Amino acid sequence: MKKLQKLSLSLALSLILAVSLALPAFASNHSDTNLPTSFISYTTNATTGVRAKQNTTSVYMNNTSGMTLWVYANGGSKPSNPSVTYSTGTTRGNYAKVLPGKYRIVTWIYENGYRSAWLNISTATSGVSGNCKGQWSPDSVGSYPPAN
Amino acid sequence: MVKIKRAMVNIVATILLFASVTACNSIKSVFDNEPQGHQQEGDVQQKGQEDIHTPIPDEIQFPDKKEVPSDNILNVGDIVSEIDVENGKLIPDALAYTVEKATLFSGITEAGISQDALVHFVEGDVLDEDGNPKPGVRFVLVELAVKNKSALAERNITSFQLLSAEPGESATDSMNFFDLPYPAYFSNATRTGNGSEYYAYNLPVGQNKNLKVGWYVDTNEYDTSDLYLVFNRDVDEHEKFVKLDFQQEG
Repeated sequence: MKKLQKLSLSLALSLILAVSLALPAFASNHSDTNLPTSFISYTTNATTGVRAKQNTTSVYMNNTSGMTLWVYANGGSKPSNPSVTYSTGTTRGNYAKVLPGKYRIVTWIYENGYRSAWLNISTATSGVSGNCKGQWSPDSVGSYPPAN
Repeated sequence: MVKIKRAMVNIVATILLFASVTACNSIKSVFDNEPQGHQQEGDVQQKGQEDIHTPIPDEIQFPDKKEVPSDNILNVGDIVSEIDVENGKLIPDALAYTVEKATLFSGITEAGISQDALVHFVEGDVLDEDGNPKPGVRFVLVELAVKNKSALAERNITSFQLLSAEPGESATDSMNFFDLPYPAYFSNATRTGNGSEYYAYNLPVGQNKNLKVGWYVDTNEYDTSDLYLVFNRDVDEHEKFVKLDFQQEG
């Protein structure tokens, strides 16, 4: 009986050790917030708010606008005054063409040292315009096809 | 000898456990994270001529400076029409909101909200390492009623946003609007899954719902006497601002 107790204790300690070594802290900002509903076209952009980026996962987007969107995913900082957020060329391939549906946008926002993200959105086809609709999050969980 | 055997068994068990957990993480990363070496230009797909697009603006200027017609500024108790969008087409007057009450609390406890009811990641530099509000940070709780008149049933409370306004130098000047971080609390939050749908709720056509939405506000940075909820932001004449006059303080 004592042997069994010792073995159980050893296994439990081993499990705790293994899990603590293998699973680092992993903060994530993946709550979906709405895209702007303003009018967009091939030459008219809409921008999201600036949100905190917590890790190197892709940006998530659910495009429900019925149009293919042209998206720049940017890193940014927001100094207090004057507040300026810069576009940073942090989207793989410079931009992402996001079809209607759920996709991830591959970026290196976090890798390049930015700790916030925002999107610049227009339509991907000349002559197509309308009001934007959908959700996004700066970090992602789960598996979605890449848009870029 | 028995002790040595036992120790060896324990070491082997540890190694096996460590290897299995690490392997699981590696498999997960294949699905969750970017492919390795994603910064290589050769990885980019070929683009056609239609991909010559409008140049990206170098920067976005904050604050959002605009003139707001007085008709577009509403008060607590007024009915606010919200648009919906279906396949790129704007549906006016799809939802009716009424901001019924706005209260300023010193913290969520005073508002009767527990820590585990908050969104899993609170945006903005408002909380300390222990999850407590930093000095000067207060909690704004807004109570709203919403009726779905003709919108899709899938809703998200981030369709409206909290802004801080800074009046211009004269009465005729444009106002400067500063975005506040997204809500920290939603009374009807969806708690299933991984938390990505925290802000979502369902409201079929013809039905009503009462909602409570809370934000942390850093009063060192924003004046609580000039807070607005904006609906239909940047959608021309549909853009409406509701000035939050706090009825009481908790």
